[in-house]
Amino acid sequence: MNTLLINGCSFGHIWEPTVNFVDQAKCDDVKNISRPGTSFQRTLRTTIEWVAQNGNPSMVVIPITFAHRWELPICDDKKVGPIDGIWMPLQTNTAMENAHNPWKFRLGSQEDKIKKINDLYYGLISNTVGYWDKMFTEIISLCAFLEQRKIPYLMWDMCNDFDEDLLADHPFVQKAQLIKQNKNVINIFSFCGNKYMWRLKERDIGEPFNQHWGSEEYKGLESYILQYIHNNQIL
Amino acid sequence: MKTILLNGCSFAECWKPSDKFISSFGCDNLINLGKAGTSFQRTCRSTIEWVAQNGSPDFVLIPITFSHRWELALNKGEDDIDGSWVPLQNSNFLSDGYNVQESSIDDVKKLCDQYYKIIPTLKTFWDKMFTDIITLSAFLEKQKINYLMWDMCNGFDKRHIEGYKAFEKIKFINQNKSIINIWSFCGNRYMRDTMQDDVKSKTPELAHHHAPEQHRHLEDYIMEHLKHIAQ
Repeated sequence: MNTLLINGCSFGHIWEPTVNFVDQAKCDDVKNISRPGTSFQRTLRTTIEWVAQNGNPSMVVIPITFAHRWELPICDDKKVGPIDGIWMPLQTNTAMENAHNPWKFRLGSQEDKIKKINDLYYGLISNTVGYWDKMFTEIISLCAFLEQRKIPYLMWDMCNDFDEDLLADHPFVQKAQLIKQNKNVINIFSFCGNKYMWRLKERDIGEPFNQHWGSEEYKGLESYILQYIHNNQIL
Repeated sequence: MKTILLNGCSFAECWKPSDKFISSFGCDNLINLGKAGTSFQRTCRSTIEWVAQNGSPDFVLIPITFSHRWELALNKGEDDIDGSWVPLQNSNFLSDGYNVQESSIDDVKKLCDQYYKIIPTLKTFWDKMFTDIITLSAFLEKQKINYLMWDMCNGFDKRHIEGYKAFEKIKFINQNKSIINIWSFCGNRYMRDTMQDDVKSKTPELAHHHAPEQHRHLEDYIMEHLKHIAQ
């Protein structure tokens, strides 16, 4: 069986690849281990754990989630499962309180403590580039792991809409060049999956693009990705 | 010039490798990026950033620091490698002198206190560290950089993760010849074992900054290890 492994947050979770996409990726099986509300730290950790438990998939595709999310090892592992262990995904309290957040109901007696930690965490960090630096380190690291194991892969930004100009005053983020040089990561400074889907139907430029799109938009995204895979000889 | 890049926490920063040790790698230059109080998260980030800025060194040596440490981008220091990152650990070890811009160092201490209180056991920090060890190894291999890592101060024990899910990944570490067996070797413990018994009994097993004499013993061990894995 040739397995296509998908990993990310809800933007990966709601994606049900078409038969054509799976076929073009030279696969006949899909494992989607994406989880809503989760961080790239979780994408990195669980992709490695999945490979450790199951061996190499035939291809890995990763729609990169929000850079500001993180996680803490505070869950009851009986409720979470063999890949996620005891990790609890964390994001801003407003997002954590969202009725659609599947983790809301797992906070249990720790809810107040987690909210205090989140308030302090997000209250202290004043510069977005700090989140980016952590995520760029993780992207480079995960790429290296997949290449070391000779697993074909493709990553792209799904929702951050990175602006390269913001890095100009931050000389400690030269590592971004390592990502730009990697053809297995669609240029993160010029492509954003959600923004691409938002533009498919020439929507008003003032509308927010970070929402969960339907299957028609995802088909449009698939076409873009397949063309990119073909043009860049990813497979 | 052939360069060894050494990176880690104070256990790397306080180590002044001998000329004999440096030349045993065929190198004549040492860059020590070790920084007191820092995490393995910082080791990964700063090693990758150093390579991005300077190209590949000829060898990388990494004494692995405490697994519970972490970091946040709060500073406005903006130096070329560490940028805004502030090393974090238990609040009593945090310096009031940290530059955290408009934020309060008291809030940083509160965050650390809450962080360590809510995490049920030290062993759970290991999962993040193991993930980071695997990926930093992969990065160095991808760049074709020879390297060696070893635990310096954690004293990992397999019994402590028995029953926990999602630790299958440790097999990638166990299989890696460029990482000295983390379950049987700990650098600080090894150096302590080279001390005379009366001094040894008064020296902490894992958290101690050793003298140059003990570092020479560690260097000998590392050189022997590298000869062994080269065979």
